[in-house]
Amino acid sequence: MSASYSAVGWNRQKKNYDWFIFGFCLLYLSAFIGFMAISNPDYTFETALIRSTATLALLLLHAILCIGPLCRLNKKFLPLLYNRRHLGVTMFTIALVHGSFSIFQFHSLGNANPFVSLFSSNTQFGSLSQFPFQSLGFFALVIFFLMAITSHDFWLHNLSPRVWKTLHMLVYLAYLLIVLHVMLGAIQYETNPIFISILSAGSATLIALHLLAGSKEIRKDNIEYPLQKEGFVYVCETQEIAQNRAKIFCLGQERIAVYRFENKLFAVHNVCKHQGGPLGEGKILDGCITCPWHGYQYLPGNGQSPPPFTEKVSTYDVRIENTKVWLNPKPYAEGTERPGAILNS
Amino acid sequence: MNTDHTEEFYIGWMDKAPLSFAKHIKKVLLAVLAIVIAAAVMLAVSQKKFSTGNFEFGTLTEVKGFYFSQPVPCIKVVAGKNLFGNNVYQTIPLLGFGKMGAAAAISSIEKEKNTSLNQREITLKGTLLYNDGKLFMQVDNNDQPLVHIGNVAGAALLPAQENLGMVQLRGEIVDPKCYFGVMKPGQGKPHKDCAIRCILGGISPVLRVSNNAGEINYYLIVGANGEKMNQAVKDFVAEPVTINARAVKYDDWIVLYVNPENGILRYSYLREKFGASVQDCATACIK
Amino acid sequence: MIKQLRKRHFQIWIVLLVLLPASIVMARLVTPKIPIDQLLQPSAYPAYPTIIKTITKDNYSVHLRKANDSSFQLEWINKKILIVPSAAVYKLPAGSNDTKNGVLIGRIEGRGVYRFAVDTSFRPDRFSSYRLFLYDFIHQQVIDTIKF
Repeated sequence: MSASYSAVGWNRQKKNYDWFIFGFCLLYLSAFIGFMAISNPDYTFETALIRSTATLALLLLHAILCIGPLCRLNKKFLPLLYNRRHLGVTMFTIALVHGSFSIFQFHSLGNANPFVSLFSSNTQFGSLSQFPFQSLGFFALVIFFLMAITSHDFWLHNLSPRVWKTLHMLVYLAYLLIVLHVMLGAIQYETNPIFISILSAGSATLIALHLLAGSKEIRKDNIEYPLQKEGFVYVCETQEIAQNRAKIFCLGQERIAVYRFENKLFAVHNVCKHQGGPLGEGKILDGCITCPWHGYQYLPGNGQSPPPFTEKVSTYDVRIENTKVWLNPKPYAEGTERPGAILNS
Repeated sequence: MNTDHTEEFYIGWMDKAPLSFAKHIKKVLLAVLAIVIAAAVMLAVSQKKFSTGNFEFGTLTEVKGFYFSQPVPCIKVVAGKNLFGNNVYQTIPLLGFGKMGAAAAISSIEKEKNTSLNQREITLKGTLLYNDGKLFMQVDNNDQPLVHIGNVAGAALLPAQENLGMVQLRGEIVDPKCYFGVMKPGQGKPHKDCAIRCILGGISPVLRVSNNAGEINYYLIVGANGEKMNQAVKDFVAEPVTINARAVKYDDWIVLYVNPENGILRYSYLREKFGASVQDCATACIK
Repeated sequence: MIKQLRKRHFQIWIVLLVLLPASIVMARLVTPKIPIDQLLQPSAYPAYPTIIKTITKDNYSVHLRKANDSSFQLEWINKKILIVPSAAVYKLPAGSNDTKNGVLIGRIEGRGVYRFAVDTSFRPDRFSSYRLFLYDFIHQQVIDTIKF
C-alpha cells in the first residue's frame, strides 16, 4: 500500500522469510554437492554447480506454484503467500546461475557466439529424443526474468493489473517448458527412475492441488440465490455473519463481501485492488477491512483506502428485513459512500 | 458460505504471526525441509558415475615424438623397442584450445618456422587429457607449444596401416576433448550441444563402442577419402548410430573411413531386430 | 482473484493435466538406448595352453603362460579403466628401478586382454631375478610393480 516507491518494504516477517529461504538454499546446495562428491568422487565442480542449481530452482518452482492453491484450501498457509515474490526472485536467481553457467560451459570458447551456438549447434527440432532442450530452458528463463524484474507493486500499477497478471501467468508456460527441458535433456541420459519419479510426483502434486482448489472455488460460484425482490437478492441470515468478519456471495459477475461492523452490515467488492485477494476472507482491524493476502485496507462504508492511500473498491446496497439479509448486486462506482444496513439489536 | 470465524487473523506486516499460523507454518516448513533434503541426497547419489577422465588443467607436459597430419593431427611418441626390436609407441591426437581443433595452432607454428612439421620429430608442450588407455594433448599458441623441431621420421616410424575391411559398428559419436577429460559427462544428450560445438570447431569426432562387458573401443572418424567429417556428423552426435565404414588400423588407433552420404545411420532397434522393411513400415505408420 | 482469472486458471490446469503427463511419458518412451557391439581392439593373440603363474590385483590379472614348445607368453588382463596417460610393461632386473636397464614388453590401453610373446628369461627358475613394472612413459612414473 506504498504511497511512494521503495524497493522492499522490510518488516520482521519478510526478514524471517528471506533468512529462511537463504538458509534453505545454502543447505540444499551444500547437501547436494557434498553427497555428490562423496558418491561420485570423479565429479567436476562445474557439473555439480549446474545440477545443484538446476534441481534447487525446480524444487523452488514447485514450492512457489503450490502456495496459491494451498492458501485457497487452508488459510494457515497465508504466511507463505505474503512474501512469495521473494521466493520467486530467489528461484529466478538460482535458475540464472544455472542457465548462465550452462551457456558458458557448453557454448563458449567455440567458433560461434555462445548465444548463437545455443540455437545453432543442435538443430534437430523435428526429433523428440534429440530436441534442442537447452532452448526450452532459455525461453523459460526469459519468462522468469520478466517476472522477476516486474515483481514489484510499481510494475503492477504501471503495466496495469491486467497486463501484469497476464505476464505473471506465463509462469505456467514456463513450468511446462521446464518439465520438457528436464525430460528431453537430463533425463534422456540419467535413466535412474528416481529422477522421473520425483518430477512426476511434483507435477502430480501441482495438478492435484490446483484442480482441488479450483473445484472448491467452482462450487462456491455455483451456489444459487433464487429469492429476489426489487433488485435485491436474499443471501443469508444476519447471525451467519460474525462481528468484524464477512460472508462472501457470488452474484452475477463477481463476488461480494458483506461485512458486519459496529452494528451495521456493509457490502464491498470481494476483490482487493492490490493483487486480487479475497477481501471477504479478511477482518476489520482499526475500522478497516484488511485483506488477508498482503494487509491492504479499505473503509467499509465507502470502499476507500484510508489516506494517504488511494485504492478503492466498489460498494453495494444491503438491506435487512427481520433477520434476512438482502443484497443488491448492482455495484456503485468505486469509493462511493453507502450507509450500510442497521442490525436490529 | 462460511469464512473462518477464529479470532486469529494473519497480516504479513504485523510483527508476529498469530500462534496457530506460526505453529502450522513451522510444522510445514520442517516437513518440507526434511523432504527436500532427502530429495537432494537421493538426486545427488542416483546420478550416473562420472568417467575417470583427467584433464591436466594448468599443467604443461613436454612430449617428444613424430608429428603426422593424417589421418588427424597427432604426435607419435616412441616408448622404446620391445623384445623383438619393434617400436612400442603411443599416438596422441592433438586438440586446440577451448572447443577448437589443433589445425590453427599447428598451422601457426608452421608459418612461424616456415616449415612443414609433417613427419618431423618435434617436442611439443601442451596439456594432457586421458582416460581408458587413450591420450590426447591440447596445444595452445599462448603456451608457446613448440619446444624443438628435429629430423624427419625414418620409414620404420611412419604409421603402420592394416586394412581391416568393411565393418558395421554401433555406438555413439563423441567429441574426444570433452569425453576424455574436460567435461563430465562428456557424452549423452545433456552434452550434445557442446559436443557438436567442439566437433564443428575442428576436433575430430570419435565413435565410442561398448561391448556386453562394458569394455569400450574408440575409433577416429574421417571421410571416405580421409577428408574431415566434422560437418557431416553434426546431426548424429550424442545419439545411437550405426556406422558402415572401411576400418584401417593406423598404429594404435583404428580409423573409420565413412561415406558421408550413407555411412552413418541413426540406430534403430526395429531395424536391427526385424529388418529395414519393418522399420520403414513403422516410420510410415507414425508419420 | 476475479472470476475471469479463476476460469483462466482452471482452463490452464486442465490443459496441463493433459500436457504434463503426456510430455513425461513421451519423453521417457523416446529415451534412446546406446547399443552394444563387438569390439575390434584389443585383438589379442591366441592364449598359450598352460598357465604357469598368476598374479591377481584389483585392476588387472597377469598370467605367465607356456606353450607346448616351451615358449612363453605374458597375458595381461586389464580389468579396470586406466587413469594414467600411458602404461607400458617393462621387465627389470631385481633391485633395479630404472627402465633404461629393463626390457620393454608392450603397451596396455583399454580394458581387455593383452598377450605378449616373451623369451625364456621369463621361465620359473628365473622368477627371483626380475620384476615387472607397469610404467607411465609420458609422465615417467612407475604405476605398479609385480613380482612372480
